[in-house]
Amino acid sequence: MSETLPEVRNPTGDTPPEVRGTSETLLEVRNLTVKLKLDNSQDVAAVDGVSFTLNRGETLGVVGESGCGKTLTASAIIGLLPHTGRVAGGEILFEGEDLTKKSPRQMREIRGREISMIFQDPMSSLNPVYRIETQMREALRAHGKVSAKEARELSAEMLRKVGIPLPETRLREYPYQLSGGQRQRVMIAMSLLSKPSLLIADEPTSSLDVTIQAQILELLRTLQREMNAACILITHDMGVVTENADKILVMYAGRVAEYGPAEEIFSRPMHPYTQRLLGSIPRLDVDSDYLTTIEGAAPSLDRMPTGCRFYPRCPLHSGVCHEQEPPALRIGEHVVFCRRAADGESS
Amino acid sequence: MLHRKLSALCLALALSLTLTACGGDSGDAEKVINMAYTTAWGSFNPYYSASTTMYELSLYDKVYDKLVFTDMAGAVIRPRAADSWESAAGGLEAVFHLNPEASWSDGERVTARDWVFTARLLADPLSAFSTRVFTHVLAGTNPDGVMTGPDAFGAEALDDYTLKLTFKEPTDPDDFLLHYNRKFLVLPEHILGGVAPAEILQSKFWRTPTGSGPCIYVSQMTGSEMVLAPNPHYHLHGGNWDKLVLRVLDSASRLTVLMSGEVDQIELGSSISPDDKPTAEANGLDVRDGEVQSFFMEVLINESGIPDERIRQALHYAIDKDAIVEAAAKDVGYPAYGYEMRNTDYYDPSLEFPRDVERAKALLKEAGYDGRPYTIAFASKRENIAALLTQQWKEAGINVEMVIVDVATMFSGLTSGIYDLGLSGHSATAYSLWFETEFPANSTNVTFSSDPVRDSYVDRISATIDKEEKIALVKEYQKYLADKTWYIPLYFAGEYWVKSARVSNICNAASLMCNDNVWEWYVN
Amino acid sequence: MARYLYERVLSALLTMFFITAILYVLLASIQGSALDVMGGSGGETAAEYESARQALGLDLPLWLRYAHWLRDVLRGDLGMSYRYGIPVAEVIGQRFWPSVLLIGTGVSFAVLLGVPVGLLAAYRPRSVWDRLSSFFALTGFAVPRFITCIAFIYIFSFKLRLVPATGMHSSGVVSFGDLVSHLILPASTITFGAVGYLIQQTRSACLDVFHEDYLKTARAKGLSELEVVLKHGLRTALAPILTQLMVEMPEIVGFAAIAEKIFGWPGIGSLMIEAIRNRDIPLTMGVTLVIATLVLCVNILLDIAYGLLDPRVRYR
Repeated sequence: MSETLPEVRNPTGDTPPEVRGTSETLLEVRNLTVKLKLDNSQDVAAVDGVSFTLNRGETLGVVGESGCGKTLTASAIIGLLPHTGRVAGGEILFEGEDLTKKSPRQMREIRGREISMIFQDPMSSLNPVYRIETQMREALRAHGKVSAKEARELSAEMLRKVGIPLPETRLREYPYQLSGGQRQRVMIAMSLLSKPSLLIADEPTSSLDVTIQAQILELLRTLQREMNAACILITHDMGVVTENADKILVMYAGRVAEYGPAEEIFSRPMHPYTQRLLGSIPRLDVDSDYLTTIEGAAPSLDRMPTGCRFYPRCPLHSGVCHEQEPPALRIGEHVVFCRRAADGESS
Repeated sequence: MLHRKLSALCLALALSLTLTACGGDSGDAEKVINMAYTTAWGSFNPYYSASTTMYELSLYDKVYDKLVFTDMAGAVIRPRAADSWESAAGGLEAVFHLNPEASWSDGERVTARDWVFTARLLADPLSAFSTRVFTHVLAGTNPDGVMTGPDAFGAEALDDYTLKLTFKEPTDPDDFLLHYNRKFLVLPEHILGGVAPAEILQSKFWRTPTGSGPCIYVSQMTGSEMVLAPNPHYHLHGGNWDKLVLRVLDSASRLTVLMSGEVDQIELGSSISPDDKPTAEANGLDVRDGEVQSFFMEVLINESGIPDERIRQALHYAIDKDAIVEAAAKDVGYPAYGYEMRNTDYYDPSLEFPRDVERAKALLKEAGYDGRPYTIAFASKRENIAALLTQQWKEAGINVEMVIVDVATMFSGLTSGIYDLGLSGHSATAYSLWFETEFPANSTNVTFSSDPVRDSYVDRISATIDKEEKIALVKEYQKYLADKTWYIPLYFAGEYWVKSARVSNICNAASLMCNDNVWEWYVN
Repeated sequence: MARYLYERVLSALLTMFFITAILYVLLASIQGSALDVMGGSGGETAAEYESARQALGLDLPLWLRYAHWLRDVLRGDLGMSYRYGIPVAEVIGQRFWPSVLLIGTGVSFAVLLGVPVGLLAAYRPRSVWDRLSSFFALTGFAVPRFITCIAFIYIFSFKLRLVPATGMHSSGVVSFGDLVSHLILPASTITFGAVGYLIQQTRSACLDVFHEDYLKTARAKGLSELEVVLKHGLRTALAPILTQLMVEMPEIVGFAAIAEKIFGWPGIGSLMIEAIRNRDIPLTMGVTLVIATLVLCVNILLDIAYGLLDPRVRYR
């Protein structure tokens, strides 16, 4: 089976976060494959055989470089794939029901109510020509009758919760009158109006500066706990998920590289890619002149390597990595897809 | 999904658009006759402008009455307001016996006094009218037609229905009529009598005129459409229509509207070009050869631009008129060498000559033509003729440059000397001096200097009552004009006329004389 | 806002002054005057000609004639038409509404047709629909306008006998259906000419907007695709589309004049053409004044509308 691997200290030096959430399964993604039709008419699997589970109230951090398929996975879950994409295999079981089998109308009912999503750039995520209250009211009205007065009250309440002072005044304003951080708070408020059980946050802090980042992440944590909402937190920045994530899913080139409880991933990363990702987080307590990077670039969709998709950039790869798909190595809830790891070697 | 929904919407929209296209034809019991005009009329005042167009005269003809009805380019003169007329006092007087039934649209009878009133108004020194039309030929006026004294004036009502005109020179009444009938329209003394001549233009009368013509004015859309109804009091009868609508339409649409039946008649004879004849016939229109070939085309010459008559003659000799006729009129035209039509007694075959390029070259050499280019200005519809002429002149060694302009520019440009040559067309009549009426000696449209010999011919011809004498004089005159070559006659052409299937009794030839026998028009 | 309006109106007035002055000079300088329009058939004497000139005031120096005209206009008097002998205001009044009807209908349909087509083209760029609509759009504004008119008459009136070719109504008939059957062809040519720009403009404005993130947000809220495209997509793209339409208006008006002439539609466009041909200076000036006023008003309205549509550009 497996041999013990050398311990890698949690890079932030903190004690591992407590496990949050319940043990009731909310979302189970099994072997999800999403195919994209490229400009040159090629049909490629941009998400290939991804699986994970998420319990109520839990946070899953999905980490990977741009283009690794994390957003597509999220889009598949919420039913917002681009018209060039389609689910080509696998299942998305939400509260026991397979979302891939649902009609667009059914998905629309779920979207914005049971499953919400917020995006990266708050500057452009809100429509500039409508007032805040109009946009929030729209979110409410999409899923039920609500009077203008009620909508205003609910919206104001939610704005207060996300920490926006003087919400009544803010409601009457236009997006351009708010700062980036405030807008992201509004986005969060808007997505939580209907009390969803799952919130997908796609790079919610990437466009904000560091101090605001921490505030927003803290806000997400607080609200989640309050509303017992699960969260899929998508990011390319490992540092973002350290506080918030209960589980971590590392993706590379459309496939899962490593998946498991957060403190396991942080303390004992087994995939070379994960290790490099962790290693590239700049540390305050270590003086270094250079940022560690991973050489090379992620492969493009139409030219995927055979075998393990990471092998061209992996310092540990051998010939067999190129020929065969990497097998899965499971230790409890921790899964890694690497030949080396499976064979018992690591860097 | 959305994509398909919106596409369906677009298709539905397009479909509904096409569906609304069908329909719009509502049968009406009213008998309406539609006429198309390419140019709009101005006001209802026939004496408003000195340069009244044929289209306006055609309109006035319907609302106001005239002494006679001329047809066949003047070869036929029929009674209208006047039943009969004769010459008296050795030609110095013309007496008209008016129809006692003639009435104004308000019911009042038209009397000789109305005619005298009109003539006096025109000759009044204080009159604000821009033109005096014909009063200068009446006794008791100065050369401009202004009355010299109220009593010596040459228009008199002998009784209620007898009008006497006294001329300065002996004049054949038929000549007078051919010359001036189309512009002598009677005005009501009982309405306009009280208006001061100096303020006559401001009178509200001109907005809704009371005329004694076959039609009364109903309504109009200025510059676009005019609706007329029959004058119930008109003294001539035979028609059965309820409304006559004159519509201004672009000339490009003429044929289309005839073929679709939207229009029954086109202004001035309903003529179509030879090129359109096959299309018209293919679409069921009845196309006839014009009964009279009275359209005259000439090259105008600015005498100050080409002062040497030898060069002008050379221009004439270099032209291949058969080719021009072929291009412009095909089988309904013939080359012209003078301005008299073939079917009149005044025509002189001896004036004809074939093209002679050598002679032209010799004349040019004699005149010392230095090769300087001349400009010919013309309206765009004459372009093919101009191109042919330019080509023919080139072959004789004369350089001519072409300039396309509109009519007003051409005329004023010729007068002011900007252009040397021009192309113009006119409606000829049987009147011996019809061409003079187009370019009278003292008018501002003349492009050649005044000439006493010419004036003397004109005076003598108009004063001669005896037919034989007149013919001889006219022939002599034409020879003189040919030598001088102040203008170059090109051809006479007839037209193809479209005979309306829906309306009978229309005299197409009469339309060209700016009068229509609308009182006889019958809707089948 | 008030100050802004005040400034715009002032600059509009100044523009009008220049337009009218330049136009007057041009008109008065063209070869030929109102009296030469049908030369050769009059036979007027030199004295008659001269008195006619004086009656029309054509013997006065140019600047004085313009000054008189301007003075009268400021008093509300547009003068008398040389040709028709009735007040210019009256002539324009009769011919004004047919133009409004024609242009209004033509442009409305251009918008109704062009905006959805452009929207769809942007929704699925590079699809068959996109290519087809681009082709259609290009044809619309590449084909010379008068050819469009003549082609339409030929196909729909002449060959297919669907609708009458000319005029605003059949004589003696006063019915809505008749008006529609006369209106449809000329309005279609206007639509055909204007729709090309609109399709392209809508398409490019929508393409820009469809990439925006707030559409994603809207979808994530659970709104139907139609709502997303219309309320968030089109609505935001509306401002530039409207701008384009208004910028196009003068050209549409010019084209409408040609269409009016060919179709015999009694509007102020064809009135303008006739007035120039007749060298009827007061009438030409009057029509120009009316058209220029309208266009300038529309421009000001557009500015206000843009502000209403897009709060980011509002004047504080």
